[in-house]
Amino acid sequence: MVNLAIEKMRMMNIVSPIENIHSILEDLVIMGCFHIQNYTKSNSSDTLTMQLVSEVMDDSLDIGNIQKFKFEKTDFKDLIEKLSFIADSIDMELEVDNDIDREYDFEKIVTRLNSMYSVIAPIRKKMEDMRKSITEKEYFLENIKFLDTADLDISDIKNMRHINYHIGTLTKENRIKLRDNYENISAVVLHIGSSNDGESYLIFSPTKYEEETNKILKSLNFKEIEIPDDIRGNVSETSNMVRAQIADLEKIYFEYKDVVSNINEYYRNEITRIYSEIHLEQKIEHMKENVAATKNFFYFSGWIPEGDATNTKENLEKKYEDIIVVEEKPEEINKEFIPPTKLKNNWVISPFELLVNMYGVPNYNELDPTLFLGVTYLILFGAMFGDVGQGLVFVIIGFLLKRKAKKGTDAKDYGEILFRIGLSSTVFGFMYGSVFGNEELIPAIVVRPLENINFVLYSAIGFGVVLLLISFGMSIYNLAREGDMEECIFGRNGVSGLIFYVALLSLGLQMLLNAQLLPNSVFIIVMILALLSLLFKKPLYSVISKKEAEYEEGKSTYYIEGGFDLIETILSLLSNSISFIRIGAFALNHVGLFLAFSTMAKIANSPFISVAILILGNIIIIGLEGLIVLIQGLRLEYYELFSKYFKGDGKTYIPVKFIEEAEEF
Amino acid sequence: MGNASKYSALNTKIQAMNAKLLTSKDYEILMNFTTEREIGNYLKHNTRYSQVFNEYSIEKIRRWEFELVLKKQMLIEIERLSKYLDYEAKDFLNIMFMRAEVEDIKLILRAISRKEDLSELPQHFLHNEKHELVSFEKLLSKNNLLDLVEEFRGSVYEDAFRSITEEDLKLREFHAEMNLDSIYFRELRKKSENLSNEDKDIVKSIIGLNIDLINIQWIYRALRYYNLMNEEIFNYTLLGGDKLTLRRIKEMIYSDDVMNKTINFIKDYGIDINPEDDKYLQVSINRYLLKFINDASKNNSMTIARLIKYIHDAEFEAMDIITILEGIRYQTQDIPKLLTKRWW
Repeated sequence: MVNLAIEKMRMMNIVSPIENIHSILEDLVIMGCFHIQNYTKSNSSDTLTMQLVSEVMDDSLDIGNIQKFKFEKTDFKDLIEKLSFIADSIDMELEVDNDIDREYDFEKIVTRLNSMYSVIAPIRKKMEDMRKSITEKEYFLENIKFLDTADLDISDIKNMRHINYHIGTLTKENRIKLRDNYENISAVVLHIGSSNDGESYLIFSPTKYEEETNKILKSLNFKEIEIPDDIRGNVSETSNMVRAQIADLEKIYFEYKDVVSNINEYYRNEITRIYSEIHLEQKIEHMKENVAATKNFFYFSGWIPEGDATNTKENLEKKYEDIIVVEEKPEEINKEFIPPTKLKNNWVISPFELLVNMYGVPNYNELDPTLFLGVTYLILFGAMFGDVGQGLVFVIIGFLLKRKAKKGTDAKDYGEILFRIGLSSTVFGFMYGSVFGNEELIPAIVVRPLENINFVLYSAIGFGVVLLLISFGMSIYNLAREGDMEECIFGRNGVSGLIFYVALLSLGLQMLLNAQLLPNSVFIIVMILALLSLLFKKPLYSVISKKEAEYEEGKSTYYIEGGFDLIETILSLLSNSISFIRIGAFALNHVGLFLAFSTMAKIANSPFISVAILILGNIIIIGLEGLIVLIQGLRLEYYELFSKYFKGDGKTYIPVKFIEEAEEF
Repeated sequence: MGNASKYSALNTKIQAMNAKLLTSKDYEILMNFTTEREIGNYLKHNTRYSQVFNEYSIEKIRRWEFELVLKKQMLIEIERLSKYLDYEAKDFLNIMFMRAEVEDIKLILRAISRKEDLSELPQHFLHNEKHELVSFEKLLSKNNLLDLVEEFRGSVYEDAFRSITEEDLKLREFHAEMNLDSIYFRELRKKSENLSNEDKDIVKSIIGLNIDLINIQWIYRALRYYNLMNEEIFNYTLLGGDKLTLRRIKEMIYSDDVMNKTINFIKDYGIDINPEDDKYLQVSINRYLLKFINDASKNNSMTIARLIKYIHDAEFEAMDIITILEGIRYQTQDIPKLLTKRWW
């Protein structure tokens, strides 16, 4: 058999004096193959490890005192915020440098970061203040520019004794209110223009009504613009003066900017280094959260692929004198610790893991269904959508998608899948002799679907039956591995179910072909026996296993449910098989749909329209039918096949790595 | 998509939720209790408030927490209902989260004007972080008005802070608060524009009435209790009223018998008002609004009206419970007269 098994895992337990904790965890992060097993009371008191530990170490571990490791948590959020602030100030992106110098002192890094922050922050603050000041002045300019034509001396306005002035803006809503109530306001209100911030007004009111005016303006939400104290002269002089001030500020602002970009040169490498080190430190702390410890020792356990185990163990033991590394097989430890699942498929098949994971991650004891799914899905899709031209379109789209998508993203896998099913479609296209729906360009290597309808439909069901039989085989294997012998022998997806199905098929085939291999009655008796064993699986199994049968909800309920189950089993086996007829149906449908378009093209009276119809038809077929076939193929895989043999209740193997795939640049 | 199919799922859900609103029987039981604890326990064990109360021990719950929990229940329900809406209606409904946010911004402003410590505030917040239009984390890091106003720049609330000064916060707390409210109503009206025509008509009539009722109350109270200039009263009214257009408001405010005109305007709705004892004014107005919405919902069952009715039902119910709690605290006898519901 090709490799259908899931990567074997080892539980690795590490015990070492507490002084080594940081250094060892750092090594584990850099190795990047440890999947954390969360600390619980029961794995720490695991006897095998503890026995070994107490043998090797003088200070035998006080198992009773072992508990979750407590440590002071670092405020990474604050550090990262500061780093981002600095990086942002000097226009650089934060990136993790793979090539990290591990000889660092974290405390020193924090101090260094804080001192860099204290250099940059005030400059940044200054620059922001300047920006603000510039914006304010520009705002002022914008609002007095409407007075430009008036020959008005600002200082004259400011020096008036009996009349007060206000310059400012109103929102649209409040402008209506002011307009509707002019006559009741003892002030001269001049609308002087519109700006981004609303409508600009210049208002004069008698000084003795100052209080009233202020109240009214306040209630209108009037945004007052202060005229700076150092402003003198008429409006255009004022404007010039302010413009000059802005120019000065801008100049200083850019000088500061230069300073910052010099700092950039100086800091860039250091920032990247600090960021990488903080990043590593974060990962280490993440691991620390899952460490158990006594007063003097720490205890860490995690899962590691079998292939990496020996090497890792040797490396650790070579580097540290007082370390105990114990390797355990999943079978040897408490059943409650379920190893994570790492799928290992070659590059041809591995993109299809996405489709498997969409349904569920295989559990550690299951067969990995990816290969079976990948191969059958390719055939299903190709058979339903066989066309050289349209297939190549999928190949191109898939190729572009996988080229553009980032590594480690789903989009990339979708691209890979599209690329592969496109190829399959092309291969089937040659077999059917179809190029963009046209069946006259190339000869059919195997068959033209529409001319051999019965052959197509029968072989679809035949193919389905083969897939179902393989599914039965995988189901029986999985159940046996899981140790569920009752289901394995007498279950509907076990041997009994398989016998019933084979007998049913043989009977059907015999009647269809009018042949007589065995008398019909033999098959019928076998079927009845198989059904009876399904119904009585509990008592039967108790005889074999010599154990008392347990009925969870009473005997009668068990048999009533069993009775219904039987009917459902028969129906679903039939419907599962017939369901595959859709492969043939869609192959026909594919040709039929094109036929409709080509007929339309023929009766169109201009060649231009004909071509347009054919192109449109192909687009619709690729878009719409392609999608339907994608879904129908998946439906067959999930509903007809996965439901037979696949549980998908595992958890994915996610090792703690220095740089995750998605973080790679 | 027609409105009938658009709202069928929502209305089924609302029907189910209607059944869980407090009944007149619940009201009776609540009013017969003599301690807050009894009310808390009843709500916790017999009503749909059980879930929100679950996090609290009724023995230890503080008074303001009690009120907050009641108000939060409504936001939780709105969140739940909004799943059944299309994009425009959902966006419109989100305005309810904005209202909660506005109330919390007012809390911050009050704390700033009293120079209180802001770190204690978040536990009093009603709004949900998920729907924030401004970052409260940033707002809370400011300790003076100027920096706070800076934080609102570019947000939907910017206009509320156009003219605010430290002095305003102290002397006219209402200035900032009314500006915030006016922004809330501006957004409310703006968002109602995107609804389907049928929904828009109903929503506009309800908003129009609501704004009229708020404006007339403002005028009444301003005249009676605050020493304000006519121009100020006029300027602080909300735009978008149904009967009370700006011109009508102006006529009213600048007329000689403004108080009579105001009272008559209120009476025209059939709302009782006694200037000598106006403590029932608010509740009478609420009752009128609720009845109006109730009628609208009955006549337009396949529109957004039923959703609006449910929200008001739930909100007034929460207010009523708070009133009952207050009745216990202040030993008042006329609680039934102060309840919005249980009136029909």
